[in-house]
Formats: sequence, C-alpha cells, structure tokens
Amino acid sequence: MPIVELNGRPYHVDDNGFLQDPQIWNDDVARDFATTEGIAEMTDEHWKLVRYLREYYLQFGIAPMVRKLCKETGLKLARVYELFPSGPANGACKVAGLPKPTGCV
Amino acid sequence: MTVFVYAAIVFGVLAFAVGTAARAVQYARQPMHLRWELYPVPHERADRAAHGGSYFEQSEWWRQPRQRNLRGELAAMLPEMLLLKALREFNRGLWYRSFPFHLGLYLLAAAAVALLALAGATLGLGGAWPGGAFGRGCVTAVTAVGAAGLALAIAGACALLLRRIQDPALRAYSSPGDFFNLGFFIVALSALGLGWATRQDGAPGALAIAAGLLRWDLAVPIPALLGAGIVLSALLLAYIPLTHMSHFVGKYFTYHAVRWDDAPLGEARRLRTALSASLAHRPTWAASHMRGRGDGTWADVVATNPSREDGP
Amino acid sequence: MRPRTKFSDLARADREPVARIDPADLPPLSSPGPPPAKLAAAWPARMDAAGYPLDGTRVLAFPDPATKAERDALVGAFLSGLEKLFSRENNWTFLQPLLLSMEHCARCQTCSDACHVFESSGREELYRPTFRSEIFRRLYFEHVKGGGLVSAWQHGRVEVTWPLVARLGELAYRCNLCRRCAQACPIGVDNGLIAHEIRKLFSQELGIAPTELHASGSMLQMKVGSSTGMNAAAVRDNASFIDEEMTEKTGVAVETPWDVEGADVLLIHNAGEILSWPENPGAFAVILNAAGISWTMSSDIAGYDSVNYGVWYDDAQLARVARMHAEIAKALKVKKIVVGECGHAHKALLVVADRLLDGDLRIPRESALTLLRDIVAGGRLRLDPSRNDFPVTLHDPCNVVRLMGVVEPQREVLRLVCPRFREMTPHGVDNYCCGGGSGFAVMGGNGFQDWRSQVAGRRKLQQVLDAFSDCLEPAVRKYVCAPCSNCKGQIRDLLAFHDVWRRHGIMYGGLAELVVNAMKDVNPGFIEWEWR
Repeated sequence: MPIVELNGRPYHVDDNGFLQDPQIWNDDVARDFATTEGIAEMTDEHWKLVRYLREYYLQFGIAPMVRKLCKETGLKLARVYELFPSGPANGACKVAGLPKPTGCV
Repeated sequence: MTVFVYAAIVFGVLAFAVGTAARAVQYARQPMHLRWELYPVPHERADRAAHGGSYFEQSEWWRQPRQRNLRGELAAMLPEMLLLKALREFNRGLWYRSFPFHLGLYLLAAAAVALLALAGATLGLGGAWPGGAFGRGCVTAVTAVGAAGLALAIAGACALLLRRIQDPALRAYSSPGDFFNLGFFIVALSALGLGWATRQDGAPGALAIAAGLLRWDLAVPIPALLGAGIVLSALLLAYIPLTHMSHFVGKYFTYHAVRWDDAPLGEARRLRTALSASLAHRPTWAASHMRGRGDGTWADVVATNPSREDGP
Repeated sequence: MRPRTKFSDLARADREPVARIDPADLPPLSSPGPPPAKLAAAWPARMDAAGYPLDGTRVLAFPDPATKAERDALVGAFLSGLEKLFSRENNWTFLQPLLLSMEHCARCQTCSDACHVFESSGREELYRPTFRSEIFRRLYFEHVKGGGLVSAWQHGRVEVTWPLVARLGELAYRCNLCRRCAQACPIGVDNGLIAHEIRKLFSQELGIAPTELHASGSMLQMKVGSSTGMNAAAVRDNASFIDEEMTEKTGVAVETPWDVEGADVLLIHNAGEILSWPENPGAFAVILNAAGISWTMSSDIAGYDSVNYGVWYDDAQLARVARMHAEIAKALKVKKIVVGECGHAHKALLVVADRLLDGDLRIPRESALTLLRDIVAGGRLRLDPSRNDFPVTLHDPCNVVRLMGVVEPQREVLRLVCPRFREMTPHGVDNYCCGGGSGFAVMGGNGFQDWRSQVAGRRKLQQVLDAFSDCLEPAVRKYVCAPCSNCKGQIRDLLAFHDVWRRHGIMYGGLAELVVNAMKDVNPGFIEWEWR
C-alpha cells in the first residue's frame, strides 16, 4: 500500500489517497490531510464539517448523505466545495479520516 | 490424371461437408449459456423490432403471450447473408472488396450445383445434352454465372489481399495464414479460370467433366491446367472448415444462439433441464471466494455467501 | 504521431507504461473546457513504483513477483484459468458465446470505428477493441487448442510472460463492455465478451479484481447489505431523512413503506441513489404513492441495493447477488420485483441472471422505466408539462437499451412530460456508452477518474454538447436525463471535470425527477438547479 508524507509525517493510504486506518485519526491527522486539499488553515467551518462527518461515521460506519451533511451543518453544498475543493466525498471525508466512499455514489 | 481430379472433387466436397457439419455440431452441443443478447432482435414483434425494443417494454411482460416474428427474422437474415448488410453499414470500404468476393463465391457455388444438375440430366438423356435453344441457353447461363463468379471472387480476393497488405491496422493483426488464405483463393480460382478459358477446341469443358465425374468416366481427357485448377479448388474447399473462413457456420450461432437468443427460462423445459445439469457441475476455480461450503457443485457455490464465515 | 503499440509491448519487462495518453492527441471537443492539465496532476503516491504499467493509470493491484519461480507460478495460474474458461464444468455460463468469438474473427477491424474508447483516445492502438482480443485469441490457440507451428502460422502467437499477463488483466478494464463493437461485427464476434471473460479469469482463478468491484463492492454488499457500506440501520435512517425532505419540498406527505409483506411491488434502488441522489428514490416514493401502487422496499441484506457488480467480472458473485434479490422477494411474498434506475442491475437481474433463477426463485422482474411509463401514459398522475420548460436530452444506458431492448418506455414518458425533449445522435440501441460502464463510474484511484473523464467519456460529452448546440449559453438550464446510477455518476464526473455546468448550464439527473417536477399536485420546483 502507498505511503504518503504529509507535513513530514508518513501515512499509509489507499490508491485514492484516503487514510488506510481510520482509527489513528486525530486533529493533527486532519490538518496534515488538509494540505492535500490546499487548505493552509483549518477554519471553524472546516472543523464543523469534519466533526460531523466523524461522528456520523462512528455511528453508522459510512459517510452521511451529502444532503444530510449540508442540512445538519447548515452549510450549502457550494460552500462545502469552497471549503474542500474536491468536494464532500473526496475532500472532506479524506480530511475527516473516513475510508473512501464505496458503491455507486 | 483424370482419376485424381475426380477423387479431389469428391474429397473436397466430402471434407467440406464433414468439416462444416462437425463445426456446427460442436457449437450446437455447447451448454446453455446465460443470456447475452444484443438489440435489435428482429424476431420481436414488428413495432418493437423497428426501434430495437424487446418484450421487456411491455408492462408485466411475463403475462403477455410471446410472439415470434419469423418474417422479421428472415427480413434481417437475408440481406445479411446475401448482401453482407452489416459490413456495408459499418465498413463500406471493405464491403466494396468483400462483397464481390462473397458474391463471386455464391455464384460459383450456384454454378457448380447447376452444372451437376445439367450433368445429371445429360446422363438421364442418354449421354448427350440437347442442342436446341433451351439446351444451349442453359449451358450459356451456367457458364455466365460461373465465369462471373470466378471473375468477382478473384477480383475480390485480390482487393482484400491488397488491403490487408497496405492498411497498417489490418497488417498488424494478420498472421501468415491470413495472407496465405487469400492467396490460395487467388491461385486456385485463377488456375480454374485460366484452365477453362485456355482449353483447346474439342477439349472437355465443365459440363463434360461434371458428366464424366458422375459416370466416373476415366477416359475424359481433362486439360492439365484446368485439372490443376479443379484439384486446387477442391483442396481449398476442404481447407475452409479448418479455418476462421468457416465463419458462415459461426455466424449462424452468433446471431441465433447469442445475439437473438432472448428466450426466458420460465417458458422452456429445455432450458430448465439445462440449468439443473449445469448447476450439478463442480467448478475448480482457484480463487478463495469461488468455493462453496457443501458438495462443491455450482448449486452449492452460488448458494454460499463468501463474505460470511458462518455461511451460507 | 506516437508509435503504434504492438502486442509484444505488453510483455516488456521495464516499468514504463506501454502507452502514454497525451491530452494533445485526443480529438478536440466542440467546446474546449479548461486545459486538461488535470490528467497529469495526481495523487503523489503514484503507481509507477510497482507492477508493469499499461497507460499511466491502474485499477488492479497485482502481486509484484521478485523471482522467476514466482513469476512462473503466476503465469501458470493464468494459463490454468485460461483453460477453465473453455471448460463446460467451469464456464458453462458463457462457453458457447466465448468459443464463437474465439474462432471466427476475420480481423477486418470493422469494430474499431464503433468503439468510443478507441476513437476518443486519438485511436491509441492499445484500446482498439481487437487488441486485447487478438492477444487473448493467440493465447487460446496456443495454450488451449494445443498450439504448434501450423497454429502459430494460422493464428499468430505471443510470448506469455508475467508482464504480458498482468497488463492483459489491466487492459480488460479499458473496455466499458458496452458491446457497440459486437453490434458492428459482420460475423457477430464480441470483443466486449472477451474483456468480460478475461476479467472473470483474473477474479475467479487469481482472485484479482478492482477493490471497488470486489472487496468493497460485491463482497461488502453480501456482508452488510450494500456496496455503499450502508447497513439496514443506516438505510432506514437515510430513507426517513429523504421522506422528511420530500414531504417538505413537495408539500405532499411522503412515506416509504418498508418490509411490507404481500405488497405488489418490491422496489429495489441502487443504494448509491439514496446517498448521492436522494431526490430519485424520493421521486419514486412520491409517484408510486400518488398512483396508488402497493409497494415496499426491503431492509434485508442486499434487499435495498440492486447493484450486482458480478455481472462485470465474476459469475459466482453475479449468481449469488441475483439469488439474494430473488430470495428477499420470495420471503416478502411480493408479486414482482421492480428495478430502479440502475442499468447494470436491470441487465443482471432481468436478463443475464434469468437463466440462474428457477423454481420458487422465479419471481417476475420488471423495469422501473416501464412502470413509470404505465403510470404516466395511463393518466394516473395530474401533470403539467410546462413545468419542465427546459431543454432535455436522454442518455441511453447500454445495459437497459442495447443489451436489453428497453428503448421506448423512457421516451414515452419524456414526450409526455418534457415539451423540449430532443434526442442525441446516435441514440437508442446505437447510442454511445457514457464512459462509466462496467463499473468504471465507481472506480477512480491512480488517475483513473481523469482517464474516464478524458478518454472513455469524451464521446458522450461531445454528444451532450451537440444535443444542446442551439442553447449552450449557461443562462439556459439544460438537463441530461440518465436513468441509471452508474451513468449518472459518470456524467456528473464528466461535467465537473470539463466544468460544463458553469460554462454551459448543463445539469444531469434521472427520469423520475422529471415526472415529479411536472406533477400538478406537488409544489413547483422539484428539480433544483444547483450543482451536485
């Protein structure tokens, strides 16, 4: 499996650059992965999204519906794309340390 | 010499018939496969066949009677067989070369059959084909068809060979055998044509040789080049079923047994029996998820859930 | 001009890609988007370190054997799998069509012009539909039919080495299995089938398949119930959220019935719809309730996810999932299964698996498109087509149309609810694949998403642009109706990659949404013109 170095720390990732082991995730990991999205500084809005994703994942084992994500965080989808340019699935989920969403999504 | 020519003809025809039949039987005896049809399917009801639709377009299709539209099927088959419609539609450049070639072969086959019929009639009439307008007309017609067939087939084969050599996309995919096959057609049919056209006055023509064959008359003096042409053509005939040139057999099955095979299992006892027989086979695929947890038959394998250790 | 890729290139032992796709070589689009620099930029951990690369992207993870003995063992396993493909015991499912496609190709290359991947790659030889078929055919004649000098002379030959085997496996995933080439073949040879069988060989014998299709695809579905990873609790939670949303939006109380025994219809959506395009299952709920249909969804394992990825790469997985779907319908005692807007699920459950389901598993199965047609054309909804006063074109999912013959029902619906419906060219059974077919839409690592946006989907994008050529300005909102989750995912990625929503105002979505958008009894504005 590929290893990627972010902010000087090595991480095992899958072919899409998602954190291989979601268990080791913490705020520092989030900051490190945020660099792959071109995010220099994690703002409150970033954290709001990431924390919601994280909680939902711990409860259901997957990422939430995008629509639900927007509704629960009060952020419009366009804003989510501004915050995470690769979008909610490939950007925000990656920073939140979720596995890459699977299936026809 | 004559006996060789006769023997070659008999061998060629028999080998062709046996080889072709063997291929057909081989394909026909393959097990029932999963459905893999391709639309349009022309035996669909005409209004649906027109846009490539299937019986799945009806609501509750399983309650509707299935009608087989034989006329539609024939209307799709005949232009395909006689005019190579698909090739004309999708590869016009090749069709200009391939169609004359195939038409030439059809005409040659027709001329050969007609020739044998005339020869048979000759024997029935006491050994001589009647002169007269009708008699001469028949001979002229068969001769014309045969000559046209030869000319078209040779020209087509030359054009195909040339294209195969010139077009880099075709050349890269061609084996020595492909060039040989076309060359074989050109040589055999040219010898046949030249031998026939250059035979001396009084030498036996096609009809006389055909009648001689039927009588097994070894006294018919067959000219050397014509004899060589006949022998080569007969060998070519025997060779065809050994190669992909027997695609006329394959094509019947690719269309009827795959592209147009839309028969649902529920209606056919034949298919249900075939399914039970197939599910009783024991696959030997090596990947771990391919194993069953019971007797190892397909029935067991497909009833196993490999993602759950506790099964099934 | 780049040099023509040769068969022997696949056997090369160096670690260079056999072909490099340069965006400059691709056929120009009528609306050139942003510069295709994205194809080059990719995740830092690239694939080039391991394996024998094919074309700069990769979907399979191969072992990287270090010793000759290991390589020989892998080649041996491949050859044994090859033999099994041609045995009745192991491959009765496709033996007859496969044999026919092996022995009659005249190598006339008529199929090449029918292939969108080949054409859209700037005619890269590697992607010619006959390229992988020809290699596979040569291996067949040599290793299954006995080979020999005469055979090599007649059929040609290629040296079988591990790099060749590995690259051939990868190359089986550069074909969308759309079978447009098979339709063009004058003899009926099927290059799509050959790619399908090569995929099966790798999965069923070597245990090698794209993670997205196998480990986190069919296996995950059989384990938790859906390839999305949704278990029953998650799907119920999401569905009730959708019900709330739909109620709020339409002004009509929406409730999805779950696990109703004896319902007429068991509706199985692609579960990806629930997560990514909730308005589609939501629209179905609105329509079925309004039409008074007795229906249910199932929260049983695989009962809420119609996907059957096995149809793309593995017969056992195909049969298993199809049986699970039928078992659920049997247990619920429904009258029929209706498959939602998911193309491969249509083909898998209604067509391919038809000859796997007998006895009490033979539950009638039907397309949601015909059901929608019956409801709309039967006058069971009050409709105001003027609510859909925007240009709409229709994408034909190959699995539903060319491979199944459901052509007209979706058009009948569109003609009734979309006054500005226009066809693509070509369409119907002659249509082009979206470029996401055979699982590509759910695969994306190692630059594959860029590849399918640039190469595989290029023809479709051009078709979409052409269909709307009279109104390309972004102010005019336009809708590509793609009644298939896989196609929808691909079209989303395609439009996003080429920035088409912003530049041309082209949105995409399903069929049911257009119907609800035209329903008089719901609040106007069901379709939201916001990129998603």
